[in-house]
Amino acid sequence: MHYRPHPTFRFCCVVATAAMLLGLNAGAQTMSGPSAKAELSTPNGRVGEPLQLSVRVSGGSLQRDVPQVNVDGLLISFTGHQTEVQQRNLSIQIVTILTYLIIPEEEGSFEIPALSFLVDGQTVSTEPLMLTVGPGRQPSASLPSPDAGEESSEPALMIEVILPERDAFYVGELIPVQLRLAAAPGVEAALERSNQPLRFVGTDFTSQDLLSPENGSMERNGRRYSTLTFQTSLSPVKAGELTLPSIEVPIILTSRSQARRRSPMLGRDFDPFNPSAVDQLFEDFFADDPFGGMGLRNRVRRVLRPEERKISVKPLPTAGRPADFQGAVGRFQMEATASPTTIDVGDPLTVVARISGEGNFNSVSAPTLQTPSNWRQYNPSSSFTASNPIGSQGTKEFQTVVVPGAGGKERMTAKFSFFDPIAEQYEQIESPPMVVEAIGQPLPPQATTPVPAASVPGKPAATPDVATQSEEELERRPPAIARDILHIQTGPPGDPRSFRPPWLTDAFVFQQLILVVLSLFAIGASAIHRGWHAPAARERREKARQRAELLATLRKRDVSRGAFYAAAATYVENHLQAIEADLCDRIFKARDFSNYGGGKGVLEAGEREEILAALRLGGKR
Amino acid sequence: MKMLVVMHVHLLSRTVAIISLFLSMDAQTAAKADSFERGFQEGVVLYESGDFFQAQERFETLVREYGWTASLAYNLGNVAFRRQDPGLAILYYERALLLQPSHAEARSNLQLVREITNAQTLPLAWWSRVYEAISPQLLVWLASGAFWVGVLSVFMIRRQSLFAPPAWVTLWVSLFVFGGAMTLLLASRGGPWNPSRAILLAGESVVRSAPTRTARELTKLRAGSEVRLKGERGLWALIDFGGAQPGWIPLQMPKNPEESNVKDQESTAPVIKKIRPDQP
Repeated sequence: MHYRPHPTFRFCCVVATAAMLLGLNAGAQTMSGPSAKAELSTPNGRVGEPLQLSVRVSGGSLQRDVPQVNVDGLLISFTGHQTEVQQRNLSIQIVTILTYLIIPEEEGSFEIPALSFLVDGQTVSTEPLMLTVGPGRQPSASLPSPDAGEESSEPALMIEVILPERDAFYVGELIPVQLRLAAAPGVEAALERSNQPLRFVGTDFTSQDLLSPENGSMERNGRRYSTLTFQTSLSPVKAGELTLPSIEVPIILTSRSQARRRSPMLGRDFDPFNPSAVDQLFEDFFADDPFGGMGLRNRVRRVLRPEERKISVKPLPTAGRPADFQGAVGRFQMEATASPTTIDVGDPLTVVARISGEGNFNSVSAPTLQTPSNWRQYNPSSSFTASNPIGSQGTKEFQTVVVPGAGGKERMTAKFSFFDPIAEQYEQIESPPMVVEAIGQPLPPQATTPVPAASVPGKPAATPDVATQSEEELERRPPAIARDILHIQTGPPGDPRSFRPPWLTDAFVFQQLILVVLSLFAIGASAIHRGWHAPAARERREKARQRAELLATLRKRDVSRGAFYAAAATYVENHLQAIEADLCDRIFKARDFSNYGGGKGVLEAGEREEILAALRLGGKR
Repeated sequence: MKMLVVMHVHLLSRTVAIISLFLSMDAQTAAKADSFERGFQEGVVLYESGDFFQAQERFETLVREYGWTASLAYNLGNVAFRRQDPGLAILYYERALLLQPSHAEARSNLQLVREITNAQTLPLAWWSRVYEAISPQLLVWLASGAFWVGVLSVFMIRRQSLFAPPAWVTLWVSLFVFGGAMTLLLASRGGPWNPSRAILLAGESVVRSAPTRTARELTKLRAGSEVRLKGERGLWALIDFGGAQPGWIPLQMPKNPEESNVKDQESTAPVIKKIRPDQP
């Protein structure tokens, strides 16, 4: 018979074994006790070079927050922690590793003070550490050279603004600007990812967003740098010694030494601004975590700003400014074509003027089209095609619809004026002549008052340019018509009027009210008329008339007996709703007696009054 | 007898008082008209002597004191044009045409200034072109007359009078005329009386996609361009300029273009004005 222990016995054995193991563990821990140990990644650093401080706390669980470390001259930030459970022999040990990132800001020797931690109710402290910081490569945002011990005067990370090499610029000119970031090999930095595009910020210049950067490289003082170049443009809005607008470029730096020591990318060219390369670098660095895969992320954010820089901006000169100059600054060429070249009078033709070159195309307006005065021009439409990313080069096309107002062979030209900032003078260019033949009779002019030519700012009067006409081609031209507004009104000013719509004017509302009242009156009168002539109304009126006659007869003093009782009988028959039977019988018998029995005597006053009282007609005469 | 005499004397005195009141009102009206015409002629003389600024002051004073007339609006348009303000000139010509659609000189000058400045006009619906042939005033009176003729026709038909058969014809004709006139008036929201019609006064207004100076630029409009004012938000106006979407322009601009940050009323000028002024 096989022995099977009782379940209660088995449970007690398991509990006793667990208690023994826990006791052994507690004993082991108690024997070793909680401890803390701090360690620097290197005791010698450089200004701006990130270091790592790791604190290893063992023998228990941390029961308080991580202490902050403050040392003047050192920028120390807590980057993370990890807890491990280690088994040694029969004892289990809990180890917590805390990591701080240190960026020295000054040279000198620094003491990192002892750090205290509360572990399972006990306070443990680390030993103070000494850190010696040597001179850095760049006061701000610099990283050490990858070649240890090699001194160089060039910083490891640079940012600079590159402008065209000129002494001065002009108001309204489009200045191509490059913003270049350069990093020495081994410097791991990446642009901080942001949804906000980078842009120069200032009030003296108009600017646009920086375009996507281009990777490159350059050499300076025999040292090779990886570069990241942004392109944009600035345009000054006023003259004077102006400070270039500021810009801030946030970047992320990583701990160089660890990555260099462990990264598999060592030994080959590494582009610090290539996001994928930087990501790979981070991955490599974290994969080869020197602290046993703690997953520490030793990254620090830095904002780079180029040095303040001033440029000289001149106003556009007034001397030699053409009358049709409309603010275009740059170097431009123009060509213009018209199509069709043979057309009926009154039909539209299109003149296409293309202005190409380099400059501020925002300020390029449509060229002045010289057409015969009786040809009508319409508002031109424009489109711009840039040939470089910042739009400082390209072609702006203007399409103008022109309608000939008279027949004949005409010559049109397009004129355009601009300021050349390189030659520092105004230029006036003119397209080759466009000959258009219009066929048909002249259209009637719109305004023919011969008064001085109209003048509107920025729009010269449409007068024919005699210099552009060819004697052979201009066979016959209708007399030029100076176009101007008609003269003012000199007669009586007229009655003041309201800007109210006509349906809200007093006269209209008053008239409508009168009509409404008249209509109501007519409707009322019609209703009354219809009521008066209705059969029931007539019957009522007839009945009332009969009643009045009967009453007059009954109340007459000298009425005969027969007439009185005849009237009384009629009154009873037609106008009384209820009457006593005796009275009714008496009245009708008296009437019959008077009519047929010879009773036609005079009615006595007493009898008359009695009958009238019985008929409720007494007392009324 | 005595009562009758007293009553007649009282009636006579009241009648005399009323007649004298009418006569005095007529005299006041005549004096006012004389003053108005005298001021108008002074403005004309100032204009003809080339003093456009004083002429403008004179005409504007007359507008404030006596109200608008088509001739005043037309003359103010001419003054504005001579003062090289084509946007304002177009606004005044439009107002003259609003007050008197048959004002041929205002129509001619308006067309000329628009051609010179290349100011845009919003495309008109086909029914709006009817206003060039039939003035809205006429349409209003037509609609009103047709309505009352229709009422009269219904009255006669209900009376079953001798005129009942022709009244049916009259009723249908009046219904047709009334419906047509009302459709034309309502379809274009009053046509020229549309309260949102406005004219841009600034030399060149940049229309932006949002009410901020850094917003995307939709287009640029020349002075005198016609737009529809759809609303205002702070210092910005939302306009329909005929584009795919409405845009925003600032309501005020510095009188001196070099001063970009001026905010007080005296140093700024309106960028946009309604053709129909808010204060009629």
